[in-house]
Amino acid sequence: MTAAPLPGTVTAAGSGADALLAVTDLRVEFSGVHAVAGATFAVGPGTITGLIGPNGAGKSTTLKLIAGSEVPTGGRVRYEGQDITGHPVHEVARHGLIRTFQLSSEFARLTVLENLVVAAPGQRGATLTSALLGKRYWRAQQADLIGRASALLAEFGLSQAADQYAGELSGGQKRLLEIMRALMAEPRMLLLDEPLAGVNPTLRGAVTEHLCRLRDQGLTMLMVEHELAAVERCCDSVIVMAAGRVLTEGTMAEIRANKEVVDAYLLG
Amino acid sequence: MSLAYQYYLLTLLIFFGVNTIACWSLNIQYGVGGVMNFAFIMFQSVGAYLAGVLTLGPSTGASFQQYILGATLPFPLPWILAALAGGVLAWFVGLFALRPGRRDFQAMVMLVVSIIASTLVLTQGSWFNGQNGVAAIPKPFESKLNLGEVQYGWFYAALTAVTVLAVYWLVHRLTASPWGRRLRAMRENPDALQSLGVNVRTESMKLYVLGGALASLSGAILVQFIGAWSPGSWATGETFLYFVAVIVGGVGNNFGALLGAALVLGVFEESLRYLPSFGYAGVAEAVQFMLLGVLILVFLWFRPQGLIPERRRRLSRLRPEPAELSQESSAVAP
Repeated sequence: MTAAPLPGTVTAAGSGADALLAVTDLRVEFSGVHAVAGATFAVGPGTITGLIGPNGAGKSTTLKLIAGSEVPTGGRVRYEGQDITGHPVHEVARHGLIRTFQLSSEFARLTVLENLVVAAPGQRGATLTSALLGKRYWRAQQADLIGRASALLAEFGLSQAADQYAGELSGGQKRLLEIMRALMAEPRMLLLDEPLAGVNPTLRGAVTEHLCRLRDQGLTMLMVEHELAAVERCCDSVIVMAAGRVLTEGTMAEIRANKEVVDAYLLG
Repeated sequence: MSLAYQYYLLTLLIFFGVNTIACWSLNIQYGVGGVMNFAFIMFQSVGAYLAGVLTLGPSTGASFQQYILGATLPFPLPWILAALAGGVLAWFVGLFALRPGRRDFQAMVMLVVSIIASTLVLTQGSWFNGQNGVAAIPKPFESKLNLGEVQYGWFYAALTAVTVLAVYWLVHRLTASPWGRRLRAMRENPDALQSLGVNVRTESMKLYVLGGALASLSGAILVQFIGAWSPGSWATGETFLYFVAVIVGGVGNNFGALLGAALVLGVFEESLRYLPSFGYAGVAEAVQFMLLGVLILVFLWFRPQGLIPERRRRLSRLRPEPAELSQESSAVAP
């Protein structure tokens, strides 16, 4: 198995210079196992980049390293030209780099609408001291946020569930909630960890369309996904990872044409 | 109503007030924010000791009790300082004990800190008079008012009631606010909240300090009524009594916590008084404590949400009419 990039591959964003996110030689080691062993790639602004590869390739770990929930043992992560390597999760998120989780991570005993509203940044009354100022201080802004969240629910077809506890949703609905919640956080870039896992085929198409639309509005996304049809439909470029490294990069068509990759990782 | 009966009644009321504040403190920490404060009783004790020594006057060698920080501060300074001390202690403990993603670790560290604190107070006799504790603590305005014991008791009950109302105002305002929502999200999934840009450690710390201050305030109110505080008053097991109260009453609901304070710490605890004594001395108390264990298990198994469950907040009712919606309802920042 070769771990070095194959000849003739292109970088997701052309070059690292104009990239929104640039990852250089990223490494992490867990008790001697190199989960990510020198991954280098870049993501251009306003694109959806797919991150694919076999199980254990280090895709999710790479997302965690970028988002700050794991600290890399080597390498750098630059976002909007700023070095954010090893920054804590909440600081990375405040830069507008929002991550979703592979497993459902809804706030189970908050309603669906609350799950969305709680994610909005810069909320009045969301700190101990500003909460003491009372309802009059935060009510109007909350109503705006409820309006925004309701519009999002309508778009994703979940309006009926607004007042249900998030824990009562189906697995697929929870995935949608997770995406909506990330959108409420006003992201400039999303790190999506298998956003389509467990979503039924009809909804899957709708979510994919939605992601494409968000991209057209200027949102950048890096998406780990096993659903290759969706990756093909909405990803501008695709990064293939294996054994903790970037194996190759290109469009899905180029990846499919790369016999070595297809043999080894896509068709098993 | 006989004076003795009146005194019994007002004592129950004052204890109910104190326990209600204590349960609200535990409820906002554990029920709302998911912070398992197994050192709860330590915070109540800090408030009790501090309010005691700050009213007792300077400690003299001739006195039957030894203590530090002796002063004669006018009301309400001892209560305020007690609450502040609880907050400061919570901040200090929180520095090393708070790990929002590791609730098991957090709970164990706090339990151990509480045991260490009680051992220290017990063995360091010069701090708060060791095993015997501090006693003869003066009551606020007692000498000025010059009332009979029962009349003064009613006055103190009123003072407690006013404080309870003030604390309710505070906890209700906080739990009903966007901060309260944020705390509930932290209880449900701290990692997810962190990934949305909230520093959950800082929020846990604020909550822990707030709860520590309220717990200390409850201790201060209690000690100025009963007039004494010793290590026997705050055995580690007492913390669990408060947990039983909050769980039975309703986790995450301020009225649930109040009901728990009334039923578990009031009715259940007091019931022993009306039962015929049986067995050798102390066996009835032991059985009562065992029954508390059964009670918490029964509730955790059959009704984990408690008697008055947390209210579902139907935000869709507050949804603005379409015309009121701002044009920029797009989810993506420009």
